[in-house]
Amino acid sequence: MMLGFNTGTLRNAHDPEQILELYREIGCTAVELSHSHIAAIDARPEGFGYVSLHDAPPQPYGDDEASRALLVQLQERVLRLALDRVVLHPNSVMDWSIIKQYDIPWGIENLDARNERFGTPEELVPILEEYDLPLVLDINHCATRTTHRSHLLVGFKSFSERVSLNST
Amino acid sequence: MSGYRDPGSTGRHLPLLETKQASMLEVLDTTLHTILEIDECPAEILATEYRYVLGYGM
Repeated sequence: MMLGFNTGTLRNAHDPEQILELYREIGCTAVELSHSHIAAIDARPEGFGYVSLHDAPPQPYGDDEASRALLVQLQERVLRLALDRVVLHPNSVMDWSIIKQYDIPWGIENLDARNERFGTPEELVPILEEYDLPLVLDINHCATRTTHRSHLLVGFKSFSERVSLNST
Repeated sequence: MSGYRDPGSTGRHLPLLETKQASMLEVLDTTLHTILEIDECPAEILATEYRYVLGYGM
């Protein structure tokens, strides 16, 4: 199992290189780059078999110039860092057809109970199917739903061919 | 570590070891890559959590 953390997880640490070195010492074989660290990372971090980025656009991606500029920049970053996955919250998308126009290995994450939408298979899976996007199954987000927790996990797991990554 | 708090009431990502929600690991697909999402915490907790989850997956 390839296992690791997001670079934003380590308390009182700001230098991505130091964080990555500590993760290597722990034994991590996977790592998720925080959106806040990405500008300081020029190449794919060595020593990890899986490297993803958790994207967090300042506004939902839509059919506008600002979104397209961000997506072009992100696409270039995917290539330069050889990213395996770019994780995105579905409420960061206004126009799904736009994000599909770029060569970006998206993974769409189910949301927690604080969000009105995209927390259940019924709300999210039809979109993933329509736009041929994989799910990043956030198990903890399922757990925040105090009712029907098992239903959510079973529901998402039933679409396991679309689950590309666990997140806890 | 602090005591257990239901993530549903806080929106927080707590270490699985701390929340005693080991049942969540039952749905983990160990053939997939897994990112352990935890709110900011010290390195010792990350190392402990890593060993805990890796032990489950092996």
